[in-house]
Amino acid sequence: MVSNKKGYTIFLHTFMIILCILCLIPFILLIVVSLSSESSLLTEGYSFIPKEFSTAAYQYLFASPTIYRAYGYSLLVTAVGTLASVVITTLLAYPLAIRELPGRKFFNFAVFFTMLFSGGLVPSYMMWTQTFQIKNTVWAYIIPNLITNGFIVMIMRTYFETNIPKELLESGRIDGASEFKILLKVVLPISLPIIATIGLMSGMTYWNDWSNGLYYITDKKLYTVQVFLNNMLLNAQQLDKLSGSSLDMNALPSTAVRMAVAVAGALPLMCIYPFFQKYFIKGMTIGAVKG
Amino acid sequence: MKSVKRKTLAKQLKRFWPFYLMMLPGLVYLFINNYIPMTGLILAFEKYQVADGIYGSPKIGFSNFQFLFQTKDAWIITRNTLLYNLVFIILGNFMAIIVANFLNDVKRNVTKKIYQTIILLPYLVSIVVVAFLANAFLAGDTGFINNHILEPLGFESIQFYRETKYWPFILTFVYLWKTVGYSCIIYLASMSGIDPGLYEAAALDGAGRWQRFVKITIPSLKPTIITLFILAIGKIFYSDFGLFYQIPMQSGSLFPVTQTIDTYVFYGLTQNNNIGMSAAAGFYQSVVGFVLVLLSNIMVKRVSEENAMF
Amino acid sequence: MKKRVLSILLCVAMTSALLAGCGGTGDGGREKGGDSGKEVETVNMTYFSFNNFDDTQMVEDAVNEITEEKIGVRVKLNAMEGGQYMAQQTMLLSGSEDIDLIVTPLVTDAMNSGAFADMSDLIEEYGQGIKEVLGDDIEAGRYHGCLYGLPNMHEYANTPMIVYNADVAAELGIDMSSVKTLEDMDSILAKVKEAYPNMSTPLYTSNSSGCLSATYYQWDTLGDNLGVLMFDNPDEIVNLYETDEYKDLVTTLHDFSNKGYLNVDAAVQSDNYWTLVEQNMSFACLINQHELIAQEYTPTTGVNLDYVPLGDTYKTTSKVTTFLWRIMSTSQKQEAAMKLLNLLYTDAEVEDLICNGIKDVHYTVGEDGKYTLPEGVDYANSTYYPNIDWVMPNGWLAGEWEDSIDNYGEKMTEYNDSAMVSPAYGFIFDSTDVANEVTACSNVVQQYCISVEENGEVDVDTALEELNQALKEAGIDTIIAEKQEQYDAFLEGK
Repeated sequence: MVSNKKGYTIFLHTFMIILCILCLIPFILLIVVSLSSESSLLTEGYSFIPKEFSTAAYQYLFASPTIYRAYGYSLLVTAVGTLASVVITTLLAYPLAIRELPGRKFFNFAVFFTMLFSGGLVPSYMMWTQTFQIKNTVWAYIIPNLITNGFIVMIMRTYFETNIPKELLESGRIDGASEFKILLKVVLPISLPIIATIGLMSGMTYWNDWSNGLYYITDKKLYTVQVFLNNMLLNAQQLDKLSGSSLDMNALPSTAVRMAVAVAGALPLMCIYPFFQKYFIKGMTIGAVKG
Repeated sequence: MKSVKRKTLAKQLKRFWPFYLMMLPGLVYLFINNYIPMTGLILAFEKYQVADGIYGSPKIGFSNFQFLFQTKDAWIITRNTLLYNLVFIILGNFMAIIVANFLNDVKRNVTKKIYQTIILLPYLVSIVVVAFLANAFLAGDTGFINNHILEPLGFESIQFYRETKYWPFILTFVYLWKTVGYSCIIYLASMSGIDPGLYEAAALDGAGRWQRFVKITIPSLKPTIITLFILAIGKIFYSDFGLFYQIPMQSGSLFPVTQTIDTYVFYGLTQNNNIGMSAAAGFYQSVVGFVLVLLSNIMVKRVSEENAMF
Repeated sequence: MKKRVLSILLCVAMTSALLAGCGGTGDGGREKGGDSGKEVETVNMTYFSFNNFDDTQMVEDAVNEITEEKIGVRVKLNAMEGGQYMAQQTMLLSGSEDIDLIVTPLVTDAMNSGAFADMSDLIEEYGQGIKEVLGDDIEAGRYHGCLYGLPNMHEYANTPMIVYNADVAAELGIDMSSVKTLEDMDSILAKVKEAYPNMSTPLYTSNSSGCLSATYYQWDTLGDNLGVLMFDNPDEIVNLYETDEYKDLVTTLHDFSNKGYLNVDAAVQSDNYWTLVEQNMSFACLINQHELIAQEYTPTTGVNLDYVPLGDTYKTTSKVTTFLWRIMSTSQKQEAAMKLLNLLYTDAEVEDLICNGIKDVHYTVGEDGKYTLPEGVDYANSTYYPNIDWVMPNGWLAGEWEDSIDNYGEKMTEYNDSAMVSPAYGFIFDSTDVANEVTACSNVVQQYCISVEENGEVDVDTALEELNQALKEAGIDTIIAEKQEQYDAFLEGK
């Protein structure tokens, strides 16, 4: 029994270590390439040992004043967006967990349905730009992602359903507390894990989002890091298509720069993630997520 | 009779209005952000005219849909989209559960954290960059596999970007590599919700690790599995555009195994950027997905009522 | 409550109260613009740049001083990043934007949806300068009888050619002037390959974004190569993939591929020729370009480039209409936009400001009158180096940079004038009725072209047969018949 357990532990760790190596290898390659000189990449091909070490890619990347402001906007958007998103999601999910609520089934389905049907890009774009005029404002990053998707609402609702003892709510009501007060004083304190989870999920969405920036932000001053990086890659792709037109190659980011771009985009999240992880897992106890 | 009903309604309103008030911002938001644009699906049946707008353009019936069904490509792209998604759903969930189970068994918190952070890495990298990385491994002349593995071992080099037979595996691998780290988190969370007492009791009864996994873990995960499954079914006619467009580097020779509905629409419509035809493709994908979700929900309902979505 | 919100929102969404049709559009703008004499209108001008344009506001202020005085119009310079612009194009042209003036490729579908205003009358009234600059080429953007766009000043023709590294040629004692056809390259490439066995791509053909036949051709592609015009058969639209010309081309290329002259990974080649030749990873490039291209890229690549023509120089619709300047049909300031456009085609000062920025801030002028970046500034950290003279209406008016070719505009005009004119010049195909077939055929071509054109491992005849079979099934004959019909009508109207 004991040796069986030991054997399992060894197997488990071997498996996980192999998996980690598989995930790390391309990432190491990514970093190495971003630190290689462009000419060595073209002549020698990709390699795990840089033939010629060079920080030119990062110098190029951070020479642009845009990227510093972009980091600022990323932080701002992620902070404000996550906060707003958590509030609105919580407020929607909590009542859906109240079993006696008349019309609960209908509202549940209304949330669920949004996960299946979408009107497509063009109608959304027209509505947000014409009716709401969010183009080239910070709102363009925040509003379209407020409820990232119905799934998050359902995870949260299930958490409330399974983890909040009914008696607690009832005793609150008997004490004469308003429903808002109960939510704030009774429910929220014991729901921190799910809030942290929703927060992290929506934080990741906000940090990684480039599509809203692609469609709604054309003012360089409002770029977030991901939009900055994505536009750089998009430019490169378009330039390849137009190559041969009388255009300047200086605009074309090299392979090393593209890799440096990837590192610059992912690094901050990687650094933050371990700190949030504790809550993240706890909160994801979605148990029976159902409509 | 009527007045009684009204009375209860009033009573109910009095009791429940705070809840409706709470939901209001979220519902209004969903209505604006999700439901209003849905009316734009009407574009699929129109010849779009700038002057007439979305709702006033001339209606042309189903002719925007024709291009999706007209040629023999229709069969290939539908097959590819469905098969890849099926494989992704099955393998993806399988891998996620296995990895989550292992992670759950790691006792030391620091180790667990390190493992988890590392396997999440691929999820954070843009698919464009993943395509470059894949190219670094697969390229015909400078690629890592050809240059550093096959040739030193005396094998002939492989022109990956010309040979269709490798791509179902490559794409599946890349998909799993990129997503397992993220999707296992959901399962890991569900597992941490399982009462440890159950395992202890089972261990006392002499149940082995495997038995505990099959008899306790899997049943506890069933609701999660079913939910994720139904959701995935709803998206089964959509494909991960970045994966199928970027990773094969748009190599035409690979189309028979890499072309999906989304890439087909993209390639076809770059020539004539037709709003109606793109809307038609989206409409088709949504509707089929919706029908499939309803069907699978009925099936789930038959098997285990309590796990159905609605 | 909800119903009210819905109706309000729907109303707002539907009030894209715009004008359709060819003639009416211009009038609609004009009625509104009637009182433009009293207040200064601001024209939103949308374009793209792949380089730096952070100081656009500063430039805009300087431009407005001039335009307000000269034509009584102000401009809002709405510069977008190139990649983003291309991705957003559908939406920019869907009529939901407050754009007056925009530069786009040919985009027939947007023209069909009535996105652009007809300029026929406007140009008579406010565009005399443009008429002078463009001459007969003003008509290149005419579609279904409406003038939906004006070509900018750039090369209007191209020559099938081989661009090559002249240093390597000299070093190996290769006489490139003897090259008259693609076949002549055989022995030359063999020599290069022998001297530089590590060179990955002795002959560069095309990159991942397309087929070689889209960038190298000796016929009029009529935009998409689905039904083309051979110059020696000016009345008939033919299926390119069934012609002897195409077969000869791909047979030669297959031969080259087997001899290792082409890149094994041509299908996924992500570096362009200029990058490769700079690192001496490539010797020559097969392309349709203008005659100054080699000279233009010599300073950028640091390699002494030269070219040999492989065929005649032709002026075609697709070349002239690479970029067209349009007035949006939704614009309420069409007159002001036209006045501004006229100024952009004719006024060197304005053009120079937009293309190069402000003197001594964004560039300094050398003794020879050429521009250089100021001390300590390079292309990466410059705050205004948009590099858009090839997008702007008349970039030739703008100042020249130190590395550029002297009198570029004059030389290019000479080149344009020397070109033969394709019989189909002015013809724009309307694919509305065959949109399904075009979609299917585009996919087929994308799927087969690399293996047909550049993969030596496959047998040419079999590959061609497969391609043609697939195209037939996808309905290429329907496209060609439709094209022929429209082309006949075009010839008749000429």
